[in-house]
Amino acid sequence: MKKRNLFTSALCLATFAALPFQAAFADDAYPSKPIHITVVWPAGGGHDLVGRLIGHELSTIMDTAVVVDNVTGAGGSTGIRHIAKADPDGYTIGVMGLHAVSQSYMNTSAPQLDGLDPLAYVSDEPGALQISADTGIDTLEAYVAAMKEDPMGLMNGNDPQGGNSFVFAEVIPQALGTDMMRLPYPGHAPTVTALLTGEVQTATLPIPPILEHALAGTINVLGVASETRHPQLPDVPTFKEQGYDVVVNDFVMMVAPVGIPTDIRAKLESGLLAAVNSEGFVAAAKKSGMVLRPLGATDAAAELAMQQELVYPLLENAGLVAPELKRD
Amino acid sequence: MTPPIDGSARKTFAAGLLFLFLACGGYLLLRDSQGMYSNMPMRGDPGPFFLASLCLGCLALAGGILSLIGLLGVRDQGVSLLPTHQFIEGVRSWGLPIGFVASLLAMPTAIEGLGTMLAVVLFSSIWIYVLLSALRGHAVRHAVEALIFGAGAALFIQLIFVRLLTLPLPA
Amino acid sequence: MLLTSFIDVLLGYLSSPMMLGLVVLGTVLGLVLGAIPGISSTMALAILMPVTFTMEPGVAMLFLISVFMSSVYGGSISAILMKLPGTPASIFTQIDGYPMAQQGRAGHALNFALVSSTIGGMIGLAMLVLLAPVLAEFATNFRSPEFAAVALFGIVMLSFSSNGSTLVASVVGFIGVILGMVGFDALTDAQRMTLNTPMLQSGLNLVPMIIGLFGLGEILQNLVGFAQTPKVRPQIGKVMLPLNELTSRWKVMLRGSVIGTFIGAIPAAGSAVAVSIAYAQERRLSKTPEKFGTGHADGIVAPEAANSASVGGSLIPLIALGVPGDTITAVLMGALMLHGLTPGPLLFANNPTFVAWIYVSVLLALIATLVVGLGMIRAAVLVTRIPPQLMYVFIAVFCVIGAFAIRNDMNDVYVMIAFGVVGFVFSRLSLPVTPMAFGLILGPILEENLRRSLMISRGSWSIFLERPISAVLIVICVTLVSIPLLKWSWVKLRAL
Repeated sequence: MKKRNLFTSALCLATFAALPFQAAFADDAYPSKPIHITVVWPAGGGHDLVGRLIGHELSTIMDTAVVVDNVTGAGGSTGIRHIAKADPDGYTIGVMGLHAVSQSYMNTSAPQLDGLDPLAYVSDEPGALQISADTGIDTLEAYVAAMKEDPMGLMNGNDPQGGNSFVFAEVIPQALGTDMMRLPYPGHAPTVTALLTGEVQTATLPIPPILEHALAGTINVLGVASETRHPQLPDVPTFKEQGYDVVVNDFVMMVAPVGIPTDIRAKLESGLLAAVNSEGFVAAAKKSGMVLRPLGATDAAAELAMQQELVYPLLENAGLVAPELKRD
Repeated sequence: MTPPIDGSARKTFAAGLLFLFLACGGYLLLRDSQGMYSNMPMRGDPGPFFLASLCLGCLALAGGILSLIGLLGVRDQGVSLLPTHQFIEGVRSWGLPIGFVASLLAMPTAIEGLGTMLAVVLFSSIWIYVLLSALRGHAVRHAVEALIFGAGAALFIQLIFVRLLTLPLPA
Repeated sequence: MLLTSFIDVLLGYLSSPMMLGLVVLGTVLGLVLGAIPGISSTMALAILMPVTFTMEPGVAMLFLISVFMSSVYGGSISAILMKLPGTPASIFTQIDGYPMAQQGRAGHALNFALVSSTIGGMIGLAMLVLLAPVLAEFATNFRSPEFAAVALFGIVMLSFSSNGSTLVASVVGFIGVILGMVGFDALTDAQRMTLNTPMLQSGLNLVPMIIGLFGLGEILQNLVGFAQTPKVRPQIGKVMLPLNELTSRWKVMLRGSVIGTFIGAIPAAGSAVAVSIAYAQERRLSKTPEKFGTGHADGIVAPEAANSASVGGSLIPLIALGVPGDTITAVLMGALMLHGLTPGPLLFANNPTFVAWIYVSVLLALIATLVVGLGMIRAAVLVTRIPPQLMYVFIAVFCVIGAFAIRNDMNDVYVMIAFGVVGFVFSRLSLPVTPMAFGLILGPILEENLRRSLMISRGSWSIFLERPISAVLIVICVTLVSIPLLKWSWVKLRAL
């Protein structure tokens, strides 16, 4: 009796599963299957947000389902390897940032960037220097004075080696001519928490994770390391305006495995650019504090090469480049 | 002194040896990683290998104590070796779990090579048949049943995980 | 003011059939997805997030919170019926729930889990509504030294909480702590025990580990002498629970809920820590600690109540500080951002109604989970009647797919199988495995915060005694460890 029940349910399942099958065989025009966007960080983070928002727009533009896969672990290298190793058929693309550049120099088993084909550049994420409002310091001048008096007086929260806020914490004090005590936190959210609970007094995070707190006045942003002011924080001067020549940023770009057929690659590039320029994406990105700078595949590749040149000496100075990966 | 694991000297001895073995393995792995690490830890930081070494030390110490207690217990209790036929019987009863683990280990390769559907059909049909015939003997009826349920399992995986949840499982 | 807007929103939702329908839909989806082995609450949320794109933010939150709350209970279903915990919290539910189901009391086990998680959730929510500012103040006192002390406290509590030798349990816990270090160090990015291979660099994820350790381990155990052992399928037995069985455990529920809310409120501590401490302390307080692990109802009630209550707690840092308390609130926060609402102090200060939305959503989700869950128990217990030859194979397939699904990484399948073997070997040697899972959870919290505290103090260990909360916790730890030692030496001395 019981067995017959199980039998029937197995049959029912079979018929159900057979229905959506037919669609999979009509394989002529790209895209005929769901496109997978690989995000190398867990759900809920900044890259995940970009992936999901772009995916949402891309699915209307390309008229196919778009799925976000969070392939996480090993400081982002697992996900990057997943993208680089995927079939170059245009159904697997991914979101990447500075972390992949750092990892490619620091970790001998991390995938090298020549396995990735940049499709579109999405946004800059300029570095910045924040200070807790509780310290009473609200200008860069006052901060520099305080740090010159007692270099260990204010502690800075940042990523572990290789993360973007770690890179910012190396570059910004150099330009300011100060030293800082760097306390590592595994990720941006814990750094913000530490800044708010007062364990650290300053942080070198990009703008998105602290935007709301800056607007609320609990965190003061002392300077932004970009050429122009941050669109969501127009009252915060850049470092350049304040006399310190420092421009440093993380970035978000869409990449694919190398070897996608040219026509599919062109379709993807234009589809992604349309998604990044779409009204819905622009509005949501602006609100979360991203600085959009949509660029096509060629420019994206140039940006990536530029970032590599920027990051390598930094990591080498900090003694972080793996011996096997050192350039001659 | 009573052996702490089930009061059994043999189990205590085996657990002690296992802990010692794990501690040694961990130590070798850790040494390998220490060799790769060239950085200076920050001031005050006891370094990335401090707590690991501490835990490995505790593990080795506990392994040593347990195997000693076990060894003394074995001597006192005078545990004799199992008779040969019982030992063979024991090893034979392990055949199924060992085979199961072996075929599970082949699953990732099978999924990547044959696709998720086929790999799951193969794995489940074969194992349902093996288990069924272990219980009730070989029969064509069992093979048919195994195939149907194997296909059912694969369809369920395909429907829920691949179609509905769109996991990037190899097709 | 919050209370009035809370009631306003509640009445508004209750009078809208569309909203109620959405809650029920979310709950059913969450229960089913959560009950499928290998789908965690975080995954269920991430999967259903695209559905909410076109919804209003408040409606989307209602739907997602329903999915989340019910998927947590769904995870307990597979833990109780198949010994497959999908979330850290259900590791404890499984310890007593699975034996109970094997004794033919699957319905009772599911009922205990459902009712206590509903009540725990209610208590957590009530504390959230009434005490949010106090709890937020408490939570902001937690910095690195306190986190380290809490993790140490958890590890000490747990080593006393398993049957058998404390020494052996602590050693297994240390193994878990070491396993938690595999991969990249969270503070220096140094590789540890990786052999420079991609597979080990990914680190050991908790979910593949626990489904291997418990689910696959149990199957391998049952396959030894499979043909010789008689196959007795557990009876379904009575599904409904006598009311007095529940009411007599109100103290257990209350304690679990209070612990759950407080620990849940600490950012980054999360439900796993809350549940482990709640379980351990219940076992310490129990008059019959030896019954834990054999199908004792208190062993289900305490962790389930704490787990649900920690949801209320984990919303506190989100609402008071605008930072996510754990991975699940991080996904909820991501969902808010998809809708153009960035959580932060301003969002919640300027929109008290929005806070009320969240509270009402939690309340409705809890009630819907209770109702739908009660209805599903009768169907769910049928799982225990599936013949073993099918059950073991299906579970193994779920273990493989589920281990892959957690990070979409095939390496995690190998990790799962390896831990299946570990679980098998350990149970042959009568070694406990639960401490290993908790070493893996608590170890990284302990190490990261211990080392960061020492960086702050420039290497001085006194930092842990200078801060009141960590000092108290450390004194408790030392007392807990030394009392049995003192007792033992006292007995030895008297014997001389």
